[in-house]
Amino acid sequence: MARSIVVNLGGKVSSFGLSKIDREKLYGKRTRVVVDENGNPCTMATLTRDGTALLPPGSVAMLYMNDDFEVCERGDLQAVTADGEIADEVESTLGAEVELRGPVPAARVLDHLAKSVYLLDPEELDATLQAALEAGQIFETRFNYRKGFDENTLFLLKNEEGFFGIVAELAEFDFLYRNQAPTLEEDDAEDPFADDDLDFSMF
Amino acid sequence: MALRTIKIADEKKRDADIQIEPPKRKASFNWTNQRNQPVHSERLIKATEEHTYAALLKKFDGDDNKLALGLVDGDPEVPFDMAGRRIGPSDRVWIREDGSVLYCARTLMVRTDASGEEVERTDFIDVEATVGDETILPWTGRTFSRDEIVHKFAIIRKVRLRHVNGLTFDFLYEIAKTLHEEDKVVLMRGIAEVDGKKRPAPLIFQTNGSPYQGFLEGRVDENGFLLVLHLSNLELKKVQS
Repeated sequence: MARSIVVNLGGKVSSFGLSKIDREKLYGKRTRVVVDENGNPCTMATLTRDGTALLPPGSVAMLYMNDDFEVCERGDLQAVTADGEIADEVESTLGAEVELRGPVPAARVLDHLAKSVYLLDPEELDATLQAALEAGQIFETRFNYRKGFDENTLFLLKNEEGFFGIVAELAEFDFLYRNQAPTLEEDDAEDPFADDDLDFSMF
Repeated sequence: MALRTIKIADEKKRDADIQIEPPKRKASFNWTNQRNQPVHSERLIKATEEHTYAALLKKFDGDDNKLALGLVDGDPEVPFDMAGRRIGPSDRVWIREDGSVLYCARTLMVRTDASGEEVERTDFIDVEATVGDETILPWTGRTFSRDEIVHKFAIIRKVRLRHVNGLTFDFLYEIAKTLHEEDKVVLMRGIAEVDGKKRPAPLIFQTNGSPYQGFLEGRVDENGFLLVLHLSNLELKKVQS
């Protein structure tokens, strides 16, 4: 049975079933397909620069190893924080009651980047929370789909289409001042659109 | 990779070259093994085109039984001279079903609807960027409250607009101040040429890149400003069943 998002606002519990929304489900998809001279679809492969190996899909293994080339199995990996401490795993929040905070201003949502979006189906909805969401208020709580080392924020809101949960991570910027010219470090910043690919579905 | 330079206009239709940059990645964690030694991910060769199922089947006269016996008797699926080697510098190539490399490719655009049904298949035509250092992002004047935006769109990317000199500092500060005082965000659209006419278009940051709806948010304090272009390609909508 699918687990739910369970939230507690002022001692009143509400729960929501969730289904993920993605672009393909909403708009369909446009993809580039490369074909040969007979119109048969082709696949992308990797050719080593020395020309000794042509690697079709499925020919590459991704492994974790130390500097001595010793393999570390995925299950033996430890997450270590920047301070060198072993990070604690965070349990999934699905099915577990988590405290709902808010209402929060829309600017708080804009300080984050959405990682995934869920359409929520209220299973049990406290009247106070329902009224606040229908009035356009936004609430937040912590969210972890599965056990792991990252914990995200879930923004809960409602529009004319229904209830939505936006799973997001904080991505704030600092203010800029007159004497702040781009530094060398900033000049090496990654290209924000390097992995952009064709998908015109929403337009 | 240097910061990108783009051209942007303000409400007085003055334009300037400024830069955009992504948010810094949050400090995350590193992986170690059980002996607390740092580990890193590595891509290694597992097999080559001579060791795919199709290639092995061909080697065993197209007979699955012979192939099965061959796998029991030996290790024809393992390239001992290659397996475990780091891939190193490489290029991406297209290959046919038989594994041969394609030297001249034809690219099609295939469109499927939300149910996954193919609805269109045409030759692929490059879609030019609408944001860059050659085209000016015009001031649309169409403003929205932050509440409207966050209730309608999922913001999946963002960039900060930054000045390159004193003049562009003043230019961007004024834009940020206008939006801050109005407490609004402004819709940003590119310009694309369609049938010889210039029309508003979604924001596309590189040839064949994803199109985005863009919303520019401005905040100011006593001496500084913050201008963030929020980008979305996902509406908060129900999936039609």
